[in-house]
Amino acid sequence: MLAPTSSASSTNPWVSSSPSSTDTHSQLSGACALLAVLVQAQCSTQSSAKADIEHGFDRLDELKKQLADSIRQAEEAANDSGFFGFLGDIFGNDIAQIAGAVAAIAATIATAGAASPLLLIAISEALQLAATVGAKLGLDPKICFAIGIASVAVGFCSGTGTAQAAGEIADVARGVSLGAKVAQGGATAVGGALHFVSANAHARQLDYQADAAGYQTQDKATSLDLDDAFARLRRALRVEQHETDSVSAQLRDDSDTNTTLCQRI
Amino acid sequence: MTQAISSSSSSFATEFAELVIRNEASQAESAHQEREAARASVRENAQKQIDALHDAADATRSGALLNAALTIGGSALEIRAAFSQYGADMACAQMKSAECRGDAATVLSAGTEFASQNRLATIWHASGDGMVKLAAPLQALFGDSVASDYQAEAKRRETLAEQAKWQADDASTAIDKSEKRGDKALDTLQSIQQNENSSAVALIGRI
Repeated sequence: MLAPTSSASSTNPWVSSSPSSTDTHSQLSGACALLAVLVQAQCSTQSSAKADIEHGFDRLDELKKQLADSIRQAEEAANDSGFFGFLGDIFGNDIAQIAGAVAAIAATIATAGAASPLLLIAISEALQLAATVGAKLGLDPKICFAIGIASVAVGFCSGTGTAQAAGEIADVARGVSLGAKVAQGGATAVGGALHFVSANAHARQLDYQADAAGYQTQDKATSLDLDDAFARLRRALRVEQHETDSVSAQLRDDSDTNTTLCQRI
Repeated sequence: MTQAISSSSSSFATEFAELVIRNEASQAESAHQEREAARASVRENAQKQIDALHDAADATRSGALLNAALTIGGSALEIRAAFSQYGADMACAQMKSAECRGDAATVLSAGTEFASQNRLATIWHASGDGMVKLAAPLQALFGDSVASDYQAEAKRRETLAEQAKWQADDASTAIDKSEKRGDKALDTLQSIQQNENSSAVALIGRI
């Protein structure tokens, strides 16, 4: 259909030089030239749409890789966040609480150690009183005698030497309490630092998730552009076919009319 | 040639088809503009959603940093308080020992040391304990709640982007329908012209 009607003209291949049917051929050539221009325009549109489609597919592949990388990095960040959060809980809660309990016990021992001579004197006096009252109340004399001996023994233990030993125990307990408090503070600090590392990893995870959301958005936009390019290509093909059919029908009608006229003349 | 014979009859069909085609072209143009506006809205809201998510991450990081700074600083003060308390306890023990011995000068100096160390221990402990206890609420106030606000903003932007995408889809559907109606009008016009040509040819054949 796009072939020239005559090869005589070197300037315009669509114009025929036949002298017998100049008018008809000029109409035919004009229609064909118009069709050629239209088809050329549609071919240009098709080429542009095809290029856009190829570029869109390349972009989609690239976006899929970037999206996969972001998701993988987000998973790694989530794992890091969980791991360091777990360590932070161990240091900040468990170890710090244990150290705090040790410090409290040591402080109690230190306090009780300082007061232990008084406690021993009080226990001796109580035993002596128990022996006396027990004898008056009809308790077995042997038991009362044993309680009295115990009272005397405890009274001996509450002497100066025992007080010195209790003072040393109190000193040791104070040292243990100090160490436990330092350990508690250190564990709390380490727990805080680990929680920060965990939260920082969580923030990185959010950043990667934001990047992934961005890639997904770009993916959607690229898909829309691809749909648009496909629509343009489909439209160009349809218009090209339509224009070809229209010009063909026009030429066929003109040809039928001419034939009929020629037959009637 | 054929149009010259049936010019009066074809003029109405031509004008009608031209009117229909112009109308559909106008609608398609309008739908194109709507679609471009919707796509611009999609891009804008999506970008703001991403910015809000990044801001949420920054707020989370800032809150965690504040928490860590307060916790570590408070722990350091607690450790300092523990040393001061140890010094106070030792001074107290020294004072009691001196009391038993009747050493007034040692009692006086140890008492002064005890008072000083005990005051420092109280101050350091109160400060450290307060900082540690404030860490979590301040993180929630300046970190987590701000991050939640940004998350909500991101969700809102996501919803707006989704709505804009629906509008773009609707506009695309309208464009397709307009183009199909325009094509149908063109086909109808072509069919009318073919019928007129056939009629003209038949009339010529009858002359």
